[in-house]
Amino acid sequence: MTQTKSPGRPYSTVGKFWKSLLYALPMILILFFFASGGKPDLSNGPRTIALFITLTFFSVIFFLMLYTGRTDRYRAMVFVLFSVFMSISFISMMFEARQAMTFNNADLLECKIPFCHLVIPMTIIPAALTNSIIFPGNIIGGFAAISMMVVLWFVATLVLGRGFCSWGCFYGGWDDGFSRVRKKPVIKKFSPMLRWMPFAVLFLVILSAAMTLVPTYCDWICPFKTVTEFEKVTSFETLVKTIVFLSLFIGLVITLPILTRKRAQCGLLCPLGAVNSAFNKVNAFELKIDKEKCTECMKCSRECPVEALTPEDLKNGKASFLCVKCGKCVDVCSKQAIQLHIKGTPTDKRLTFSRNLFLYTSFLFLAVFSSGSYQGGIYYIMRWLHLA
Amino acid sequence: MNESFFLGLSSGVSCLASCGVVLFPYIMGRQASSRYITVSMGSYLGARLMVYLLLGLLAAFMGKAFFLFDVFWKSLITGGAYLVFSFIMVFNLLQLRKQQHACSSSSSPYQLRKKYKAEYVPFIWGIVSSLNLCPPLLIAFTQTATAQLTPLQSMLSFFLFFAGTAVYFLPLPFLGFFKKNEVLKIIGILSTALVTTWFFIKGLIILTQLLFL
Repeated sequence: MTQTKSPGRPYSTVGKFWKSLLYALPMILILFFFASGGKPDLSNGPRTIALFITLTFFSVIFFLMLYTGRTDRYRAMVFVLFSVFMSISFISMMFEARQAMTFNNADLLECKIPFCHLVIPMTIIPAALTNSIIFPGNIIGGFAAISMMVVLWFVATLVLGRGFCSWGCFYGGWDDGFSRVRKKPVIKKFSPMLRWMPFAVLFLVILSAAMTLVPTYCDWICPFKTVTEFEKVTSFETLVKTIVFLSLFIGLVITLPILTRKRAQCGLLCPLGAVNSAFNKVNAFELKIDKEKCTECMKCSRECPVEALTPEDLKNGKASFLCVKCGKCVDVCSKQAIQLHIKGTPTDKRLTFSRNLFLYTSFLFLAVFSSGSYQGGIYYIMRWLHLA
Repeated sequence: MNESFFLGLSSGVSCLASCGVVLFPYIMGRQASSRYITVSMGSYLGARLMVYLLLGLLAAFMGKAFFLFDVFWKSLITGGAYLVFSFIMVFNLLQLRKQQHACSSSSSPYQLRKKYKAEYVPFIWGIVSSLNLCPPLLIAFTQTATAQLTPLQSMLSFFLFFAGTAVYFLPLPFLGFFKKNEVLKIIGILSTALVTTWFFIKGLIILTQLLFL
């Protein structure tokens, strides 16, 4: 009995099982050390259970990625739950600290607002031009400090390019999850012009933030305030801002992804996605299309969550620089014409090695970055259920 | 003062998207030397600077009149101005959609070239495009007028606005090396649409707050 689904040489199912397990073992060990800090605190029962569930889940998912040869299906499970657990633990912590999801001016002035990676583009340029950080977060210190988040984002984006949006962003799972609710899209076509919308938003937020020295994206646009924290409604202006971000959340994170099966927020709004796209040009991994195998059935194009595969891209033999490296196109291609590939290496050899190298890098980042949110989310759920 | 520069920077993208696509083919279409391109760009930008400095002077004198109004009228004018800006932006967008260029409502360099000597075309084109009352220019005018500046300060503020917009024009001759010029134009159109919405909402908020004064 042989398997030919995953790239590379066919081998027996039993052999494949052991080989996948062997490949997964280093990852399991690395994750154990990162998630537990090398010295798990077994005295706190609920925390230990949360750690155990998290590690088991990550290990099983990574093994299945290697064993089945499918990337996106399993990535999405981890990614969507990352966003959900992040919101659960974040909101729970907000209620513990402030007894509300809202913040006021005093919280802003006292730097009690955690920094988030989405505002990096509008922070860096005003900082360079005016020597002032426009977001009221701590420069150094905790995990959500500005410098920590900028370094994490920069290193991850340098390595993964826009893959950060599918493997590292703790918000992306929301619209990714909603885009999988329906099996077939209701709205099938977007204007191709809209692919460039994140770049327009980027220009708007960078320059408006530089002009007003206010983080305009957080202040006016960010839809994810709905699932984290938001300004208390104290005036007509804050009421309008609330209506704007709630509408964007309902429209771009819930409704459009359900109707189109696309990641509408990531593909139409997120300014950080536009910056990350530029990094796709310089990082080592890319989606390569074998033009000999490709029948131009366009299934990959229809399934691509961010419109990164146009007929022109198929002719060019690679995904456009908007690609989020989620691996969906690789999974759906019945001809195995699309492969994760390391730039500068031959396209017809060592495909399994290229994929495994990418998976090791991206999954490790996702698992390490999300393990705190997973453990926090599971812990708070246990508390709600009076199990902790 | 800082704001003027950043306002110029923020509007520069739409300027580049709308005016650049006209100016660039004109300069490059002549297959001119670097010296000719520099002179053309210099006269184009010089004309823009001249117009902006005159507008700065005008804003300084109008500002004194503006401050005779009370808070209600000031808010009404500012909020109303934002709404007018957003409507002008919508008009610009419609113009762009018709493949006409926002900064050249009546004439293009090609048409001007027929009337005047070719060497003067960039200069005249600079005046024509500056006098087009695009929304960022009107915002700069309102900001300068309401800041109660001296004529010299007001002119300096407009100089910074000019500097902000000029940044985008400086690498213009090199744009031909990029094949995806169309993408820049699309981003410009989308940016304009977003800015329109932003100013429309801001104007609406200011006017609505008047009800509570």
